[in-house]
Amino acid sequence: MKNTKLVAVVATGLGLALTVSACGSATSPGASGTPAASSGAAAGTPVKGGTLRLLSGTQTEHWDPQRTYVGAQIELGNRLFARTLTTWGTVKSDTEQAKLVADAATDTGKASDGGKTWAFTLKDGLKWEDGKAVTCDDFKYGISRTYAVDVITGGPNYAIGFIDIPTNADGSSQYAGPYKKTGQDLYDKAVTCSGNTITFKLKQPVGDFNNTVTMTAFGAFRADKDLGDKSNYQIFSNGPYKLQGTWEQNKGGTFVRNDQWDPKTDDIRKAYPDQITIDESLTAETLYERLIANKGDDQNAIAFPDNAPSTALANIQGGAAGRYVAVPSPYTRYLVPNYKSKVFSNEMARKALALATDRAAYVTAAGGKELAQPTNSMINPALPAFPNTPLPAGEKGDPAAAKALLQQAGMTLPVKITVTYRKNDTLDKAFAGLKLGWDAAGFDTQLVGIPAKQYYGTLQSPDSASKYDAYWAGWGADYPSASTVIAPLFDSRVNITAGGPGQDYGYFDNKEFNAAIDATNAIADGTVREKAWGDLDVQLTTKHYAAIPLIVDKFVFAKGSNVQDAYVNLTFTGYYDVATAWVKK
Amino acid sequence: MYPRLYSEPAEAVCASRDQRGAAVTTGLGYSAGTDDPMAPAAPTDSVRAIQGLSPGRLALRRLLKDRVTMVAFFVAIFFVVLALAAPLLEAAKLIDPQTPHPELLGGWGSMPIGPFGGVSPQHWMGVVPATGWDVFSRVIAGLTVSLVVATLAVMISVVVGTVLGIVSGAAGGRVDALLSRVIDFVLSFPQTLMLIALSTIVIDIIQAATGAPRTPASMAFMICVMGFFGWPYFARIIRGQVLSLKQREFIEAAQSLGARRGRIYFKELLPHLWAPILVYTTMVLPQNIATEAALGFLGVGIQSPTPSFGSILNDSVHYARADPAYFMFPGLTLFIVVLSFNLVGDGLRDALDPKADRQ
Repeated sequence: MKNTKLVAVVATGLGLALTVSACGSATSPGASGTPAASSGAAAGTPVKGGTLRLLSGTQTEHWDPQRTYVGAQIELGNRLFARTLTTWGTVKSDTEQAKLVADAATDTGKASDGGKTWAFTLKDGLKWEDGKAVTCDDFKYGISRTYAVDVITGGPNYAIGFIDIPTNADGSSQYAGPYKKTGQDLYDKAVTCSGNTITFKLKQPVGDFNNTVTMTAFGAFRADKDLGDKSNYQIFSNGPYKLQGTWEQNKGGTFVRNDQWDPKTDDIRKAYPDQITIDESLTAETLYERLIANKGDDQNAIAFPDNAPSTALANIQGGAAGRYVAVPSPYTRYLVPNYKSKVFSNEMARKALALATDRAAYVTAAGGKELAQPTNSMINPALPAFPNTPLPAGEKGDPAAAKALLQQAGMTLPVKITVTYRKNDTLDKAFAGLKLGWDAAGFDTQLVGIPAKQYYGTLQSPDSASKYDAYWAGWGADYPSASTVIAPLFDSRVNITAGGPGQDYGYFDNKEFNAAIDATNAIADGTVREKAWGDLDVQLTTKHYAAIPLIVDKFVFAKGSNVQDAYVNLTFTGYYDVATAWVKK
Repeated sequence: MYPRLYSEPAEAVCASRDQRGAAVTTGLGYSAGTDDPMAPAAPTDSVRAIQGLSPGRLALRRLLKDRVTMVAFFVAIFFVVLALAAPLLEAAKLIDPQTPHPELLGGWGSMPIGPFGGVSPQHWMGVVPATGWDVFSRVIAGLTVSLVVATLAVMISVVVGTVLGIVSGAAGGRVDALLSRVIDFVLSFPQTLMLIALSTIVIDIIQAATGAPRTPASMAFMICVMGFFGWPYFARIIRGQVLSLKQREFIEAAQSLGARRGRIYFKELLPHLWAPILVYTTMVLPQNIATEAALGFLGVGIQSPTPSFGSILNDSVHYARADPAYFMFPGLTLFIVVLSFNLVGDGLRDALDPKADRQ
């Protein structure tokens, strides 16, 4: 959802990868080459106790495991109260890549039938907070909730896309979830429990299905605790912590130890602090002020999930020395020309826009060369498929060449265009700079800053097609495979409907390209497949100009001086991993 | 046709009470000089000083003697001229609020290199973090935007307030009662809250209706709202003036001669109201400039990258710790602008209504 850890890759099969070994550890450390500053100097032996405070400027939309699709909540949910079959291991430094490890299951899954059937066996001794055992049926029930698309909204749809249940003519599943129970027999056939072993039958081979089940949407849920929509903030734990009292929106809550959790069943979560509190009533600006000041209880705090806003960057190196970290963000910020606009239905105009784009201005606005780099690839440098496409006309762009193109296209200058961006201080400045380049090329740019809450909703609204000519957007892969970038953003078949463009905001609709996506998905060899995704990326940005990649930036996080062994887990959503953190007394 | 003193029906009394006025005055509004048969045939300098002065001249004299006001006046004029000239200066490339200077920025957060936010011979007030825009140019360009908004808002307040004030005061009866309630009603709205709550929606409506870009639409919104909430103050003061003026003989004379209402309102009454209008305009103008800045600071109204005091301060406050100069320079300029206009307003009031601060 939003651009924080993004939307579902619906239906059409991902990875026909048959090689399980290709999965999981695919990422190469920050291809930018700049090593992340290390934040956590080891300070002795971890001790139990104390309170770890999470300072947040972002409202939690869902705690219901099946409705969680924002990276920060996926990570927290998994580390605190919702164990999943497999998960990403912890890391000992901010640059280390995490490995896929077994969590509630005894191993990372057994594929058979060429990757079409997956089986996971649960560990013994897993318990809910009321002492009852976590069973295979709890997992089966939990995953079934994803199918109740009218109640359980917001979560990823990987289950619907992958699990072998026939679809109706309109693309929806014939199973309607555990509340309506329509098609329950179909689900019971596709997902089976025998003893402690849960078996999934998939529509087609998915080589990295054991990566997919790291999402809390594939976690367990107790049927007798299910209140449907009302379960959104009801937390029923099977992990090391449980919620004390209730969760208060825009305020937060306190997690305390769950005495039913048996550390012997868990080699990931160290659970050092006695309590973990979350305060989400703050703003990114204020919470970083507090972390820099490092007074009182804030010494026991970490920023979660907000990264330092551009205005805090200047103070953090001096003010929070040794307590901050800069890591590559998983996102690529890009510009989408709208194929339905009069101007950008013309390929020459799209090319002109790409040529006149001044990425240097964006880099400056995003915090300078050390924290942002211009890019011309949709795929993030951290992914193996990163094609490193050269910039079309250097960092600053070439307005003169762009102008020539516009004239060649027979357009009357200036060409009026309206460009939207998500309104914040950084993008205000970045787009003021971009506008100068575009205007110099003969465009007459009108900028529309749209508040963050409405931003992606506006892009996905069908009315926008006739209102705006180009959009800013950002996207990060769901897990280290470029299949979670190219397909969800540019496959018109899974995106464009009467209800809007989905994530294909610019209505890019190309049959050959769609066929190429299918062909790439079918490549068995992981390395070859990732390279093919890279080639498709190059096509998009240099042939169709369906997207104009802008920059990749770094996230800067800070923590209080008492917090030890908190490392950013780049593989697992890219925030501080609370599993290993402890508080010095 | 000279200005009358709005709180003083008889200018004679007023003038005689003035202690800073001319050393010797007759205290009367008409000349007591050379027509007098008793006057010496060849008047000397000292005799000329005895000449009577019109209230306007008296006021001017008081004004000229008030050194603080005069300094403030010239400062204010300087800013007005600067604001008017800004578009020309921009066209002549003497100021440049939009060209980025990334080469002057460095480090995390793209902060200005050098002391005081990158002050240099080319950039007198330094440069803006994360873009390298010239702060001095933006302050001058922002002055134009802020002054345009403030002035147009005052004009709306003055026109609406004066017309309704005259009508209310002169007509009396039901009309007066109705208008007075309307004034109470408008005054009871919390203006700042309204501005903040309504801004997004109303600006969207203005944009949809006129197809104007964001900046002119938000300027129009600020002007309308500040103008709308400003007029009742004018209306109240004007009404009070009119209530006393309408008892005067020249009004009765006009009425008995059969003058129409319109004539009485705008030909007879209006010319006697210039003083309070002038004084209140000079006092509300800086208030509007400050309001625009305060609202911009809160993120309402004119938005970056269009410079105005509000949008500049809104941006600079985020850098208050890392680059205090970026906040100080525009803040100081705003302070001087508002102060100078306020002092001019105060001085005008003293000069035109010497009684007001001497009671």
